[in-house]
Amino acid sequence: MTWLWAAAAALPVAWAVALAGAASGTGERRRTLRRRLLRTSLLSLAPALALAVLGPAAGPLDLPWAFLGVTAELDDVGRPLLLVAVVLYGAALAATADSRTHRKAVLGALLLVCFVGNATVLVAADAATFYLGYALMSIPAYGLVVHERTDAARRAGRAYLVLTLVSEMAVLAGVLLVVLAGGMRLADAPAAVAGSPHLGVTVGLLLLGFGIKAGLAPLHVWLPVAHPAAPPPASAVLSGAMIKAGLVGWLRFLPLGEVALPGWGTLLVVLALLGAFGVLVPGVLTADPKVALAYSSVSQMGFIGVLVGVALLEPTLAEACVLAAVVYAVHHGAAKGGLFLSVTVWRFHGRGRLRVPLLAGMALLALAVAGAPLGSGSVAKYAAKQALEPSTFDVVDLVATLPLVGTVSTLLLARAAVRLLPSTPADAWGVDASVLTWAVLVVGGTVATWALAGLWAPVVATPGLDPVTTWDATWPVLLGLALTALAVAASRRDLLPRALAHPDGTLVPAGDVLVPAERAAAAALRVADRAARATGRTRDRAAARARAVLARAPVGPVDRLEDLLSAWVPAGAAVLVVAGLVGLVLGGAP
Amino acid sequence: MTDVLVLLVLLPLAGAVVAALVPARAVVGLVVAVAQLALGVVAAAAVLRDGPVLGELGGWAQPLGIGLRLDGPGAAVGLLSGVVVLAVAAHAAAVPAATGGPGYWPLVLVTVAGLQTVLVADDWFTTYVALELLTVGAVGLVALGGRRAYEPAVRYLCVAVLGSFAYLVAVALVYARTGPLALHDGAAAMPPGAATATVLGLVVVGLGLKSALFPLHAWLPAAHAAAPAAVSPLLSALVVKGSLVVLLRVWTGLGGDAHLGTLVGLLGGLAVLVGGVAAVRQERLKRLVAYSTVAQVGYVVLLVPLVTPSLLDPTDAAAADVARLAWQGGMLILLAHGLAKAAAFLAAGTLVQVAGGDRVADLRGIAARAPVVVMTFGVAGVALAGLPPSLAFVGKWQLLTAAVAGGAWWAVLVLLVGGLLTAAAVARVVATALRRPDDDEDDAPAAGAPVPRRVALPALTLAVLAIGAGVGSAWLADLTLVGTGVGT
Amino acid sequence: MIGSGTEVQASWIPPVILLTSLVPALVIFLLREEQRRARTVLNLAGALAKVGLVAVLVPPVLAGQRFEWRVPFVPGTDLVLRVEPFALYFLGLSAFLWLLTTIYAIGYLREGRDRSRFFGFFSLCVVATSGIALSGNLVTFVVFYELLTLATYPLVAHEQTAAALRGARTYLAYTLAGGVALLLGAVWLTALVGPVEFAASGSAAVGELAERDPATARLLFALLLVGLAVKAALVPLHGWLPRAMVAPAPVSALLHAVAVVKAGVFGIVLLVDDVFGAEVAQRLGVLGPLTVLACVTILWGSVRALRQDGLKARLAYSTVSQVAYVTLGVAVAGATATTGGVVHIVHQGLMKITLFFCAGLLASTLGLTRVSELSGVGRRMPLTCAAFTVGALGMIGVPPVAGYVTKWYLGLGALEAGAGWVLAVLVASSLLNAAYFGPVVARMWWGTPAPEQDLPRPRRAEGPWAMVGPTLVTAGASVVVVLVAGLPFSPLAMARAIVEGGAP
Repeated sequence: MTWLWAAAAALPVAWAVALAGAASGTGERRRTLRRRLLRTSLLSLAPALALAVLGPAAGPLDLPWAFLGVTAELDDVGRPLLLVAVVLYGAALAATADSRTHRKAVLGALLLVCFVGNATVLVAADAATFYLGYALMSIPAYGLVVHERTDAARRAGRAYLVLTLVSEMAVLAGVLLVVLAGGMRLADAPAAVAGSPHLGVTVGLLLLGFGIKAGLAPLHVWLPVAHPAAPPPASAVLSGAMIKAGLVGWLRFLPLGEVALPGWGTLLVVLALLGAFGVLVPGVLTADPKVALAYSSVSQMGFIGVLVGVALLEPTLAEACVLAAVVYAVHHGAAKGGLFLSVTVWRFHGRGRLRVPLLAGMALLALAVAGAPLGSGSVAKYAAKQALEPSTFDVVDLVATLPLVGTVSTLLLARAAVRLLPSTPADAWGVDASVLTWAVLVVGGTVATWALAGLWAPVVATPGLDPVTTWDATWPVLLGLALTALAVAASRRDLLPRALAHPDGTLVPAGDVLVPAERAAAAALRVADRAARATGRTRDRAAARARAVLARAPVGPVDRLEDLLSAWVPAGAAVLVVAGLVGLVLGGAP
Repeated sequence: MTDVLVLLVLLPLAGAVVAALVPARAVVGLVVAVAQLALGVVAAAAVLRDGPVLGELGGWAQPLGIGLRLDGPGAAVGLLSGVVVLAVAAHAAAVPAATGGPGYWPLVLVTVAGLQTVLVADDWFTTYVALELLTVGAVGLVALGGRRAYEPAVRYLCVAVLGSFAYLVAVALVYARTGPLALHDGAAAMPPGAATATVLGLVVVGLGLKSALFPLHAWLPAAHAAAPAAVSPLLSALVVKGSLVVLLRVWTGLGGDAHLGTLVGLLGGLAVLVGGVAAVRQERLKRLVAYSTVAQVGYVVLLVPLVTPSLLDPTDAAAADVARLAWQGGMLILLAHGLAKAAAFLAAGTLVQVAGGDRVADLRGIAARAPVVVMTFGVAGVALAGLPPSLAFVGKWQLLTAAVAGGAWWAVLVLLVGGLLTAAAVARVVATALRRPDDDEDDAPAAGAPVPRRVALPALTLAVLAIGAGVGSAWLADLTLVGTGVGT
Repeated sequence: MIGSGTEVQASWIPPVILLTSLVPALVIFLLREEQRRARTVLNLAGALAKVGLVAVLVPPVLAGQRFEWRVPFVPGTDLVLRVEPFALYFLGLSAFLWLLTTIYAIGYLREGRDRSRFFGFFSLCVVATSGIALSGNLVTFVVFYELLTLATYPLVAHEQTAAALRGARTYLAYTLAGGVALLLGAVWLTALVGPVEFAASGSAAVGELAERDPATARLLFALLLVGLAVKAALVPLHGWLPRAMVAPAPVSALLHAVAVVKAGVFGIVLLVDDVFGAEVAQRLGVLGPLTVLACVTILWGSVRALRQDGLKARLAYSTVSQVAYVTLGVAVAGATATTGGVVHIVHQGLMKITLFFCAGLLASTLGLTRVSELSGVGRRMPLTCAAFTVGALGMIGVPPVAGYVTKWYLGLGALEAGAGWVLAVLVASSLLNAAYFGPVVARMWWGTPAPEQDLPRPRRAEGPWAMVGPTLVTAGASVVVVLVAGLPFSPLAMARAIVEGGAP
């Protein structure tokens, strides 16, 4: 069904081009056209949705004439994530159409382009196509981050772009190494990497490149500055869909299940844990709900990172870990995307008759993310627990530690809720497409994962409803809620220092280690600039000296010689020579 | 074919007489020039087809009569002369002011007759007479430049006579040794040794004076710069070449001398460098062009040391290859220089006239008023610098190949640096001519009448010929070897 | 590169290809300034004829036919023009871009002076480029290579201001001096081994020479390389390129994308692959230093570009860097890397010409020439800025613009050749590219115009369609050429065929 694949890629691109073309111009007809295009842009995702639903029935795609040869297929990893991506991007587009942001057409066009790239990453069956999609998704997303054109947005854009480009290049180098080892087809990639003579470099590059995208600490710094700066629909896809591309990259290329890499595996697990727990500090000390949400994403991706790290450590656990990671990614994508969209939905609709349903939906999403029972989070966490149970990793007791991620999430979400809920709009809008798509996400993030995990990934055991399992899922959330209650109570009674009681993001600014990194970069640039200027001066001086020497040197003597020769002397000398020769010859002649 | 040789000499002579008598001098000159070119083509075709053409003047057989012999180099230079004279005549007819006076046409025709005689003369004494005829015409032409040309003209006369004298002494020496007047095969009778070296030395000094071989060139820039606009091209393109051809003929005829050959080559190299630098340094346009002639003469005599080993040892096949390449290369440069230099001098003359001053600085912005002339100068400069696809490039390629094969690395260096120097000198002029006045300058020269096509076209034709002749010039290279005995 | 199973036939096609540009050139010189329509018709007719001719020739040549034309140049050596895949490849690029640049130039100079001279030399420049492409031996190459220098000088000096003439003088000084080195190398080589015909895996005679006298062979390689490196703008011989920026935009575009710089790298490819042959060059040990030189150029050009505020100057240094990719490709050797290098000839051409077209549009419509003035210009000239963005992304190597295919092949080729550090250089270069192109693009679209900078409001066109049209076409082409990279006659397929020496 090549036509379906083609439509899935071409329709969004066509819409994006149309939107970009209609973006400028101020006439009434232009405005109507823009609005219509944006509202209908949802439809362009239909073929992709069809693909996700059809799954393997859609058949693989093979276009040897396009780019470096395009192949794609829908497998256990790509299919559910594609579904989430379609829903998430659809929701984001709908929210964009109804939002009050500027230049909505441009935002919509960028979202569509990012979608094509993102979807390509998920379904690509060969390394070149994967890289194509990866770049097509990452670079235009810069436009999403800086869309608001505020200083904060520009700063976030810079951080995003620098890290994205580093990621891009690390991925390119890593992917080329994979291809060199014979892993052009993604199905062969893990085995090829395992047998590659450059195994260490390849894995290192892949961890770095995809780690940036996946928000692996300490490369996560772009997330907490980019998310608050971007418009909420953009944050939703950034957090829900795009950072999953990093995970997919790991799953596709790392030699999971092929070879045990204790060093790299341990490093990944440690960094992932660092991210999962370390973000608590900056996360609860922020004033912006979106920053808290972003840090929660970093924490959750840390959880997934642990799964991948264990898969690297222990090949026998790889399959289960991979599936658990995918389930977790699906759950997190839908739920976290939904939460980000909640910000915008709440801001426009959080009054009147919609107030209660909205609150309920948001609570559902939050609980799902935290991993409360019956939510998608609990499915994912249960799957993870099952996968990790046999692990022999002995640095940290993973099975005991990981549930605490739920506590961290609860705390972060509570922080976000504390900051978000009091801000209600002056005039609420009625039900519109954005609320509807948001509702779809609420269902998807909570219930659908459960169903899908059972349907599409039968290896993963879904949690039963027995008391032990339920309690396992519940206590971290309860712990988090209890801590929250304590904190709230403490701050009410002024038991805490002011900076902690009413944090405004100055104590630990958003982006934490980004701040010193930026300072260091600026200093380095200043030094480089001074050095360049000094070099330039030296060069100019040298050039001036060379010119002076050149102007003085060789022509003077030549000029003098010419003057000398231009006198009558040489001719006279010639006479003497001739006369001398004649005399010599005649005198010497017999 | 013999008649052609006789006609080549007599036609311009007769033309000179007619031109001195009838008022329509320019018409006579043009008619003779056209006929001259036609004869040159016929002669060159014959030489290329059948080898050297022999003949007698006055119907007496040798050794009493005057033997005529047209070899390849002679035919080639004859062809050059036909083209250049026609173009210069066309220019002179279009711009009477460029001629310097009514004496121009007879003197030109005398000069041409002298050159043709030099080319077809079979023995060295006839050559002497022809050289004197050439000198008389040339000096007369320089003197047309008016009062400020007298001093250079007199100096040129003295130098030329001195040169002829040295040549005459050399001829006398050969005659004293060998007897017969048919001096063209002196080599057979003159064994290599001190006497031959002396003769060659005299010839080099004498003809070097006439051809402005460094360091005997000091008269040339003054004379060529002072001459009228329609005279300088003839002097630089043709007159100098006459004595050069004789020098090369005598050299090959007598079998050369290794040390003297190296000396001549070194002088040639110095000529290229000094002439090139001096050209870059000149403030006056026509002197700049004239110094480039000094450099070009240097190029041509570079072939002397490369040809000599083969003359000394005719059995050495490798040396013969080198000699053949060098000879072709040098002769092609000579021909190319003739075309290009004539074009450059014609263009320079027009530019000086349009600009109203002959300093390079006076030319600023002149490209707006005389674009075609500036372009002509540029194209001619490209040909002079030996850049592709010009004829000079072909010659340079051959000469370079010979120098590399013969291990004469100094010559390689000279050839390459010389080209750059010429390019620098020309580029300076062209850049000045192109320089558009800045907006804040209001001393832009008033626009004069545009240069008419019939004035600009002859020079442009020559320049384009100098560039275009490079493609498919293999026949010309072959022609320059015919009848010289080089590399056989 | 004559592979096996090819047939060479004498033909008038090669000179006819030259005549499609030479005839317009000569006739245009004779036209009066105000004969605008005649000039346009001649220009376009010549350009279209050439594109058509090239298009018709592609299938038979790829099927193994060769068309050759010889004329004696000096006794024993011929001028040889031969149509073969690599020639056709370069010719195709120049024919296509010449057509577009001609249209662009007609728009750009619609009120300019000295247009007959400009278009005359413009066409002559293309004659020289075509000649270089068709050269069948070293002598022919040298002839056209120098002709190119001469034909471009008046174009660089076109404005005739003091600055333009200074730039042109620098250009001439560099290129003529380089020409001398090339000439010496060519003469020397010819003197040693006879006329050097270009052949698929190097000239056999040159191979013997390398066997017999490696030291001389190395010296000759270095001499020829110096001659070519000037035009190819390899550090430290690149100084002329940024200064030649005084030329009008279409000339810069042609200089950077098709003619001068490309002639240099085309020559380097010929030198390595067709004169010495990659294997012989490898044995001589000259490729290692060439790789290092290319890498230094790539990095140095990028670093210098970072500090330029003039848009064209930035683009010029970017060319220095980008064109060295081609050199890198042949220097690394191996089929993959060479394919990457060869395909970059077209890719870089399309992308760089787009960027220069945009720079010209920005300068002629709004008078903007500095990067710092470009804030928010995307709203005023969206099409131009979109095209610029495509070009810039391609330069960085972002898919789906052509540049990434080059990087893919070069990187993979370097890894295959065991030169992983080259990949590091490529990565560093991409990051630097992003560092100097990224801010420009970001400024265009997301910058806020300075208050005193009163950009004319929309409604007015971005420029004449004769300028905007070609810009959009080249921008589109830089995506399309890789979108269809797998089709038989795409640049990538051609490059593969050239490197492998067979039909695609």
